[in-house]
Amino acid sequence: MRCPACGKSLKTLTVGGIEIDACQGGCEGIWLDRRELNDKEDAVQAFGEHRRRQLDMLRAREIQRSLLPHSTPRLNGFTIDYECHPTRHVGGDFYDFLPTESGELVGMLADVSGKGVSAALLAALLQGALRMEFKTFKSCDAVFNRLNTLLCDRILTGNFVTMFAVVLNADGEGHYASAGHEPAYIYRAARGGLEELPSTGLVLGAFGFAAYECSQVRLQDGDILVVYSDGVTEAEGPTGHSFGKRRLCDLMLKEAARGGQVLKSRLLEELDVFTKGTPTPE
Amino acid sequence: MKLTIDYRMTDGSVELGLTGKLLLGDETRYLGDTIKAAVADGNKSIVLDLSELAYIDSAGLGTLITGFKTVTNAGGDIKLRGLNGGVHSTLVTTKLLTVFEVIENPQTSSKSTS
Repeated sequence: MRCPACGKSLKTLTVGGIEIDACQGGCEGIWLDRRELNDKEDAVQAFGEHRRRQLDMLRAREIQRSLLPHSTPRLNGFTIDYECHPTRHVGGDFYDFLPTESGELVGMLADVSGKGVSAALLAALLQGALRMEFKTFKSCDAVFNRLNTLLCDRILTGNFVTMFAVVLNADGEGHYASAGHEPAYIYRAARGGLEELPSTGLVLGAFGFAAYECSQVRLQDGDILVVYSDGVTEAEGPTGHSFGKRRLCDLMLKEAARGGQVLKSRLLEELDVFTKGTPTPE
Repeated sequence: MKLTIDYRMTDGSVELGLTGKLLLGDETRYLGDTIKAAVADGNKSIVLDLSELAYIDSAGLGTLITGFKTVTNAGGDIKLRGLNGGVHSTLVTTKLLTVFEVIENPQTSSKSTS
């Protein structure tokens, strides 16, 4: 191909991602295809759109974080500790605490099925509804039954929520309900063993006929209640194996006698070592 | 895709043998579409054979729930067979085993898709 200005030869170069034909004959002519410029413009626009989406997701993450408790809740005689590591900008896991007028503390952990923005939106709806319901109703079964009705009316078929909620007073007495959530555990300090708190009902939001019940719970001196989402047990290592309940239970049996904060730190360390940076599904 | 479905016609029912992982995305869409198609073809009884299913995530559970509703709303029934360790444990925890009927003893003969 020859230079349209001086007729000398052209050399094709790539500059800033655009292919140009530069005159080699000294007229310094630069020739390019208009279509390439349009493609470049489209690419710039697409990048801008991608950047805007990223910023939207960052804002969404900040909003979701702001919905989590800002300070550690108090219940006389108890130490409460918690940790949340979202693996995406936003997701469907959340925890919350709510003191009741009668001096009890409600603690809850929920996991909305699915991922990303849709799960986060449902989580926000659920969290608001939970706070309202626990202000009116004191028992987990009543709240779960009402939430199930709400969710069955509002969410798409196939979406659901697993949730654990516990109501405790300062004497360590109370009750819990679990809607298809991973079993919680109580480390019993007196005997150095674990007690499992299994699910007490179906996942929420899937079946209108589901009915929820609660079970009594009592914590004694030195006992530790451990509640977690499947992000712990399903954390994958490089070989594709999951962290699993067995490792979690072994760790609790080994470390819980040193207290809840040490147990939490050790669990996070173990997860870090186990996953070796492997992306966690949740 | 991490899921294959072995489509088996048995006496009066369709059996779907799942192999691999039932995860959010192509896998859940694939199973959902397969169940819908089986129901649209007039099949009233569907069995999901989960003996070769290595893992199911929350979206996979959601697909089972949707499948349950699709089949029962059409006047049919959907059953599970071959529950293995991890999948069985998940179905126990979520209490979905109180909704699905679980059966034993596989019957065979069929065509395979993936």
